[in-house]
Amino acid sequence: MIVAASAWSFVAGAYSLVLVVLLAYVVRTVVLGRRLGRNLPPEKRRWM
Amino acid sequence: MTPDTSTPRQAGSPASSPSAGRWRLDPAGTASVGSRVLGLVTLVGIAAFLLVALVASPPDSGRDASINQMGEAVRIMYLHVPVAIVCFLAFFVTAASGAMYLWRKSEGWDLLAAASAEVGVVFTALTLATGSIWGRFAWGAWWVWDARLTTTALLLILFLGYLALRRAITDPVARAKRAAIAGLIGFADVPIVHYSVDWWRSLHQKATITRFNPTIDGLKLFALMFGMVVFLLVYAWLMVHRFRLQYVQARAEERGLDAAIAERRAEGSSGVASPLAGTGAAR
Repeated sequence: MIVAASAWSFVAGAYSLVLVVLLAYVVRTVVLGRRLGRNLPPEKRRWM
Repeated sequence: MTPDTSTPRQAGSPASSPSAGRWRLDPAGTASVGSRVLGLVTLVGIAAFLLVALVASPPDSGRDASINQMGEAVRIMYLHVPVAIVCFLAFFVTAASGAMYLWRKSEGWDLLAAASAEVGVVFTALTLATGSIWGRFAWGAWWVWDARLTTTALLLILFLGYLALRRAITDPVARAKRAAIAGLIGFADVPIVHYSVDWWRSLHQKATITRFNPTIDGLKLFALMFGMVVFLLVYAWLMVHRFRLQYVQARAEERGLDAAIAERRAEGSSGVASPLAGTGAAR
């Protein structure tokens, strides 16, 4: 039982770490894109 | 369709263009309708993956246990292996794009290589971190100088160097060429990482999934494969946005360079290029 609880704490740690890091990276990417994108003329934004 | 970007806040307001609204919250950003659909699919995939990996799949124990008998900690593998696969893929894309740049000399290949290297570095760091957590549980140590761990750490250092190299060189052509070569050299470590568990005696377990003989089955195998699909979606979404970000940064660099050249020309034509002329004679 103690081993199982301990295993779950490692599992929770690993999943939390990955989700938090990826979320932070996604937010940074989106915010940076919006900030820099404002300086780009609309006709050069090929994806729009 | 062509929002006014001269005033930053206006670009983000819902009334700035007819198409602005639910799908175009900020037309200045790197998102498009397609990337938002991909993002939505990825989010749903992550939620489903968490359900499968943490709730539906059984612990690695009992009659159908794998040879490693990991218990509940086997769930870390559903995360660790897909993240590692994406890291290999990202560096493969960097190396292949670098090779294409050297061949075709097209800016797009260089931007693709740079975007993939950035994403790859994040996934390599996550591979090491999740592996370290697993190692602490399975081996009782956060870090051991094992062949697999050491070569993966070397991979991270090599591609951090790749990113540092890109920042150090200002000339876009020289940067693209040198980065392409650095990406190809860095990728040489990937097969070494992969075969390290076969070439050297290693604490790290051998491949869980070989071509015809996986060491896990049933829901555990499904959770692992599903994790791979979901993290490939995450990689795809990140690549779309990071590639566009690289493109925006390249155009910003161009504009900065053009502005600097125009400024120097204006200085030259107005006759105030000399420092002496600019101090006393101008007044």
